[in-house]
Amino acid sequence: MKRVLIVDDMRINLMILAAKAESIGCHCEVVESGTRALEVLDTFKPDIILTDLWMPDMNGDKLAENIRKLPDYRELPIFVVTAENDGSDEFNMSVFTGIIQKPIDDNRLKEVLSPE
Amino acid sequence: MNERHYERKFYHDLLNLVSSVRGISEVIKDVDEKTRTEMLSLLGSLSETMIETIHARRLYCNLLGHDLKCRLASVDCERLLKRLTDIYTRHTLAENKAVRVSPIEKQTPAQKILLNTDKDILLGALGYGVRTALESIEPRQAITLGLKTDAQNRIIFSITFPGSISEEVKELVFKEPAGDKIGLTGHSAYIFSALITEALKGSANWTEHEGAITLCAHFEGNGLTR
Repeated sequence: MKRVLIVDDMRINLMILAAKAESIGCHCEVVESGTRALEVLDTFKPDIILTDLWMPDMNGDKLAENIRKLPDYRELPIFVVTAENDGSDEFNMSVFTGIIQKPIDDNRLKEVLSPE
Repeated sequence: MNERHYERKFYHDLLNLVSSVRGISEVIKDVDEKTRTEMLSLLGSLSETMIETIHARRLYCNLLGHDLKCRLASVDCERLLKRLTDIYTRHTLAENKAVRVSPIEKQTPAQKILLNTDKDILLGALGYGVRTALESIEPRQAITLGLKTDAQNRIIFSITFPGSISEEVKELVFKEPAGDKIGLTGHSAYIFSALITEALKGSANWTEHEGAITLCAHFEGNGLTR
């Protein structure tokens, strides 16, 4: 069972993503900020992170950059879930493993969350 | 920051909201009763936010295009404040934050506070002020909306929120923002001020006192009844 850490400042998005991920057999932890995500990393030990991009305390790309600095999580898959198009020049999209576009396509989510 | 940036942000926000609505419709049949109840409540919040987002954008575009048409009518300010509170209490920007209303300060209890103005523009302008406040505060903090009249029959709407502003940016308050800043030097604060002064011929100012910032919109009271 894949352990998925979901990060989004909007509670409804956390609920929707968690419901979708759990329906395909994942175990989810949801947090409402990048700061909180960094706090729970060592206790939850995620296999993958799904994060929002625009967040008040720390944008998703900054969160990913901070996680990449931690030796144990350098290779952790981090996907950004966003309504922003991938041509955004305001964010460092290269720090993410991949993008899940909103509205979320269930097949894309399954592809990302399915066990290898 | 150019207009293209704000346009892109608008479409991003709208797509985000619509995606959430679609997401709820996809998962609601499979969740437990407690989650379903919460999702239904959030659906109302998302709808309200979508409507507000579209209205706010339209107002801004009309302001930019010098295409604002004021339709003057007698507006009950207390009712307008109630409507403003209802919209933003349910707005997604207010998630984990509170929107409060302080007691109305009137010259006499029976006084009805009427203003000859455009109701929709006034609601939208004050909405940008509320956005400024909500974007500025942290989760678990609150903003307070106020309405009062003074002895000169002026009508004053206020929006108070925790915060302070440094000396070096005081000159930039309400100015057209050069970046996607939030707070008093941001996009929403600029539009609040522009709509109040240019479209509604009132005046806008801000004060800072004991760790709180207050945005005010002042109008000459041309329709007070007692």
